[in-house]
Amino acid sequence: MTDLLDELDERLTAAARQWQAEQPPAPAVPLERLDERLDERIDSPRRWRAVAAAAAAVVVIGGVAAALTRSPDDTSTRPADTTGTPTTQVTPQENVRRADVPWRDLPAGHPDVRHREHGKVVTRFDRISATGSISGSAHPGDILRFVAVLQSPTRLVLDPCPDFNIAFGKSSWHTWQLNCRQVPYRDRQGRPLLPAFKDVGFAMQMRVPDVRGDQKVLWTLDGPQQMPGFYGIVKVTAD
Amino acid sequence: METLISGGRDMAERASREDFARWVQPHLTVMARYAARQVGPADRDDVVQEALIRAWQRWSTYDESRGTAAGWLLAIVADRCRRHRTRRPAGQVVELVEHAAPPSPHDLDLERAIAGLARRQREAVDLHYFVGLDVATVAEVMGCAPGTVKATLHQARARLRQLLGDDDD
Repeated sequence: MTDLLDELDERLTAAARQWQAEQPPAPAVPLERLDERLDERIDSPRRWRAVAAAAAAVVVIGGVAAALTRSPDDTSTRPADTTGTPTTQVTPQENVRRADVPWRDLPAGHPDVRHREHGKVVTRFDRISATGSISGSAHPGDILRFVAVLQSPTRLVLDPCPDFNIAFGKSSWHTWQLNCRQVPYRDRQGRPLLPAFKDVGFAMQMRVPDVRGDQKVLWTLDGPQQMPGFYGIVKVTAD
Repeated sequence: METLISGGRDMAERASREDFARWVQPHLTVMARYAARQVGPADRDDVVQEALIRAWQRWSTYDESRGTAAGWLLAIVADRCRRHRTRRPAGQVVELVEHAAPPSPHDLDLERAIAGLARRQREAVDLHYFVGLDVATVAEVMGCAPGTVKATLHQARARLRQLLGDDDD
């Protein structure tokens, strides 16, 4: 019995050493933020973010709430264009978070953001968190709208501007460039930025492809090894 | 085990941010490890930085005669981890790991077994083995006697042996 427990002690020690060796370096002391009021700065915005994420839900056609626009003639999976001509109305979006940054259909820039530090691939965007909510039901051709809320634990200049991906089920995967030009926060050089611990909402939209059934819709920020993102399930039904 | 360095009220009284940074520097690794075990790798840095902000703001209350700096700092990390877990809505954020090397089956089995331990046993295992603290500091963080930590670790290893299917009974 004792021998077996000793073996387990050795096994735990070995596993722990391996785990410790795999850990990235500890974060630095945030000297510039030490006097910030923690409970207000972090707790409240995060509570707001949780509410905002829930409120950002993009839902359903059929009269309930909505951020889906019908366009039954077009069942392609190309990104929805705000200048398009939807055939039905966009219903009120009172339950949808107002985005700080409007949607723009910008082609992916594929910026080279990855580099190596201490042998590991890192990017400037690794510590961004992304939240949002996607749910409801739709028809092929509807326009799915939602808000992706980004937050950085540090002041982060969006230069280069990162790309993002939206996958709709298994059939559709698109990459766009984030609409950095219309981010309302700038540094002294006029470059867009994410302020530390400030939620910034980016309006998103995409045309529902010609698929049926429950579809996983996944939003991810492109570039970081650990892609921050979120997903939801949209039920796609026939007309 | 980590080398632990204590600071003190004297330093706090003439505190500057740089003093604090130097004082806390030797403990950053254990703080990060503990946070990683408690809230996972994705939220580790957020929790550590929150703990550092809190520690700076309460540095003047630290009394080295009542405990080590590591114990004091890790208690703050533990508090921030608890707050973090309670305020984060489950299922709202998905962190996708791309190209991450999968853990070996050996590690996976052990991690699953550790997850099956009672809370205090898991905490003792995390602090002693994974964070790398000696028994005395684990006791300080857990708020109990060193003997209790030893007993808890013994019970945890016995339970792990059962969970891993090594029990001959």
